[in-house]
Amino acid sequence: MLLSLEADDPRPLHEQVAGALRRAIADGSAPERLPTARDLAAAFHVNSNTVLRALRELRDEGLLEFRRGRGIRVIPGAGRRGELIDRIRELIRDAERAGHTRADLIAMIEAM
Amino acid sequence: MKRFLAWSVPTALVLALLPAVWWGRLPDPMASHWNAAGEPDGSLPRAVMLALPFAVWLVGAAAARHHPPIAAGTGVLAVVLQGMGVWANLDRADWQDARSLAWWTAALALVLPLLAGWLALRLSPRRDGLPAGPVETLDLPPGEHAVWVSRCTNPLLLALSSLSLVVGAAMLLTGGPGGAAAPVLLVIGVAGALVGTVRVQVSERGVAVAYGPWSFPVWRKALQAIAAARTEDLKPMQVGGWGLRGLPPRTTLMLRGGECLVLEYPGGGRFAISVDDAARGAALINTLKNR
Repeated sequence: MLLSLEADDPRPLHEQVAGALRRAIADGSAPERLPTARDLAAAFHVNSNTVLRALRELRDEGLLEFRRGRGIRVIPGAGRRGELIDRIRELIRDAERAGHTRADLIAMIEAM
Repeated sequence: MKRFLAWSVPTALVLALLPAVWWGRLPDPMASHWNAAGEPDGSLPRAVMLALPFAVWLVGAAAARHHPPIAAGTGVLAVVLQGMGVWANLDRADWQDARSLAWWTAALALVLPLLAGWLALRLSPRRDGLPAGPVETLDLPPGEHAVWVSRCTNPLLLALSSLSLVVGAAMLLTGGPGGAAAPVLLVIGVAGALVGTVRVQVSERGVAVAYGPWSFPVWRKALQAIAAARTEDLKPMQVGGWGLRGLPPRTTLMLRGGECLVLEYPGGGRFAISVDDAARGAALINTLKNR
């Protein structure tokens, strides 16, 4: 699977890694069984804990499931969800830059 | 076809001539089986005994076009069996008086066909399948850090290797029978496990191939040392089997038939690795190389 970190990304490393994984899941290039955290860390040249933090983030978003002894699996249908979550994160960043809080954003969505 | 005839006609001739020449000097029934001490302990009607090697050879002939090693191996096996059967029974009035066959004749019947198969494998022309695909690249914005991670596993090879390791370790620990075979089983188990699963990684630092469940050893190649990367469909029969195959500069790491990542070297050599998602890996290598 192909993973890419954007140039000059100001976000913390674990969020960048999570973003790269989310994009790979969204475009369908991620295999059903993900590479191990150790392999991902070696490829990105980052600490294993950074990758683990990113993986846990994606699990909490409902994109991955951890199975003891069977590795990390992409939940079927996670592609669409990942894409949506990626766009929501972008939206939140844009809103924060424009001085809106999350509550403002939620209010805006609910008013639609 | 010419090659097939060149080998099968002499084989068939030998199989037929041996009984034809000595038919009258062979007992009926003939000794067909020998015990561990080398004494005859089983018999078959003469016609059946002399026809059996033909049956073996027919199996080989059927495989001849697509599997030259199997054809050569079974051909040699048939000739050896016929020769041994005729020699042991020649000029004996009764099958029980047949010449004894020492253990090494059985070893010969095993080793000679294997040797023939191996020779056929070395001599048969390479069938390289489809020509390797074009040199693809990716659309990667400057400054973006991209990596590619993939793996390939042969579950059967891993299972057999684990079995070999477990049995070998058990023999070593219990000191049971066949203790001499324990180190052999352990070596086979480790070697099989190393090529039973591999992980391949491509990044700006180059290509890394980690062998086996322990991800050790790791083979690395800098991007500058690679002329181009492509994908190719290869089958185990084309490269001589599973595992690390061929001699440098043309080697293949074969775990399963299908898509392979092919690294081409400036000198004309190449290293092919059977791995999933190889197209993206090849494209990333070509892209990073040209940065």
